[in-house]
Amino acid sequence: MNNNNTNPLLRPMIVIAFCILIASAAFLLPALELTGNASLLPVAMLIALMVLSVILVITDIKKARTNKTPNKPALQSPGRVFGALLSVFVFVTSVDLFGFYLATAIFVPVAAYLFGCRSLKVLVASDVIVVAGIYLIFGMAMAKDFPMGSIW
Amino acid sequence: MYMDLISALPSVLTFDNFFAVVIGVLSGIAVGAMPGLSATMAISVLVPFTFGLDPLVALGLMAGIYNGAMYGGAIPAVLLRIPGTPAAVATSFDGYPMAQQGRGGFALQVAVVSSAIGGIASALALMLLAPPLAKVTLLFGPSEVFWIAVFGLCSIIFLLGESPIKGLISACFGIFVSMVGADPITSEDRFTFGQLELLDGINMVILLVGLYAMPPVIDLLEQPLETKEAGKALKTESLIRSLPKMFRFWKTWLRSSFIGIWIGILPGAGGSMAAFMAYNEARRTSNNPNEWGQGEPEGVAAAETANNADTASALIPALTLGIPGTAVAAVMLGGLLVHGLQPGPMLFRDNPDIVFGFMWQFLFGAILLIFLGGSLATNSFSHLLKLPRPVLGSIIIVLMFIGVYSINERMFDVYLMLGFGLIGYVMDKFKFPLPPVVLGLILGGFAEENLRLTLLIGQGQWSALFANTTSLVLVAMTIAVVVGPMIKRRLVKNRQSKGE
Repeated sequence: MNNNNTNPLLRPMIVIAFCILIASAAFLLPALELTGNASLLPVAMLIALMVLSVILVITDIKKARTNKTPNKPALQSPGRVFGALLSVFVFVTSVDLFGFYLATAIFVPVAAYLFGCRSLKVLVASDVIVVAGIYLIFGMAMAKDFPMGSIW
Repeated sequence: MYMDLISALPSVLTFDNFFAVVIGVLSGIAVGAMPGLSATMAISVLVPFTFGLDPLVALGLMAGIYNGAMYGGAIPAVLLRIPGTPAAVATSFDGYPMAQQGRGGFALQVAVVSSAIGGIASALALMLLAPPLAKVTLLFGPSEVFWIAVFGLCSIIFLLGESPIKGLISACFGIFVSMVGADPITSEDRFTFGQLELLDGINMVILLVGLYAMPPVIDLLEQPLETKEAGKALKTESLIRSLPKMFRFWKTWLRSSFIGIWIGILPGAGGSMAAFMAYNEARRTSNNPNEWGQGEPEGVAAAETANNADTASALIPALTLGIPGTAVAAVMLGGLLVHGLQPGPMLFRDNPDIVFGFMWQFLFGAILLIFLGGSLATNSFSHLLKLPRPVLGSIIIVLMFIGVYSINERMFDVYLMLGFGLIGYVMDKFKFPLPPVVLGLILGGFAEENLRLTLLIGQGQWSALFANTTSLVLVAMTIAVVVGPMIKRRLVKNRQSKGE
């Protein structure tokens, strides 16, 4: 999916516009059920979003027709972006499952290694400093409780 | 109100507040020195950690970060020609050639002194201009407040972004998010879908962290940029010895300060525009314009003065009207809300110690730059450029988690932040402006409440929104903000087609 796609359905801006349109329409149903003035602004905003998404589709199609020069792809390395997003999600889920300190101790060096840091010294040092720092600052000094993990 | 300004001074001069500004300035320089990280991101990540702090301490941290980051951006701009922040692009034009000629240390000294001068001028402008403006806005009723919210949103949408359609979509999204939770007047549930966690609405911090911290983190992991040249020791003489060489820049400091302050007040403009304008103006009036771009220290002075002069002045419309001039100011408004402080004229009446204390903190932050941003600190911060970006990215993810989880100690908020982070990343990549989302969330509820109040007072008559002169003036200003850029764009297009 890139900005130079001739198939309009595969152009990213049009995909985004359709997502906005569908999400707005889905939220419009409960918004219409609200009573009195409670629905005033939500309905107005959702209808505005739907109209704007249609305008976005039209302007993007126009732009695709007139613009002959190839555009730069929006994502330079989609695999890395997907991996980064996945790693954040995996970290949050593993905190929920295994507990904050264990998940953090594993996540920091593993994510750094996977995304290009190959120095063992840096990986170990950063892991120890981060986990110990969080424990001392947030756990001890600020008495913050973090998730212990549902698996245990 | 100027008496309130003076009486707020003792409350700022406590160890805690002063320490907060010092830490803020140092952290700001560190964040600014790392390409890819910005003051906006740093403040977004910091806001949740300030929950338990005294509001002035929290605001001192933010003021320090803002000031520090604006200078910090100059470090990689001078040493590597990689601007740490967008506002430091113009600094690299002459700063980098100076570094290549072995004068990098002097370039950074010029940058730090000029940044401090710009910051001081900006803080003084905030102190002088905000109180009278707040006094006027105190007279506003619900219809005027509603129009101010509309004017603020339109300013950000039509002046900040390249595409008004995308700006409008961002703003509508922000306003819609502000509607989630119990209705402020009837207490009816709106879009909570049975989730008790959403009854109080969506916390501003969750949105801020998701939108502003996630995209740069993903960028850090996506492009592991190596900066092997970084961290070389800089040859510098002491700042006191270097200062006399800089006095010849006094006209540039003065001119660039005015440009920075003016750009800061204008909604939608920002530090980078101020720096470019000041650089061009200084070059235009220079006796030796041909030497610019080849290592002229006055170029560094112009750019750095202007991008720091834009900091506090961007808060003039933000604090008095609730209309932030820049993305950082929008995030700072979020920081105020977190501490129960609603930006606008009431802030000056109800919390004078805090709002005027905040202004003093901006002034102290700017002065502290000279002492904290000296050669020792600059040398140390230049080493930060060696920190591997994947390590930095994973640490920020952990900090994001801690910040959001700490608000209510529940995982629901963290998953919500992930959702906003994903939306923020897509918006950022496809150039949907983010400040209108934040402003929509800040002003959405505010606008709705005042709209419904106006309709209640006017017994359901929509004409109540146009019933007085102030409202009509605000409507006219809103129309000007919407139509002005369209006319300008059309004129530019016509001129271009004539040229062809």
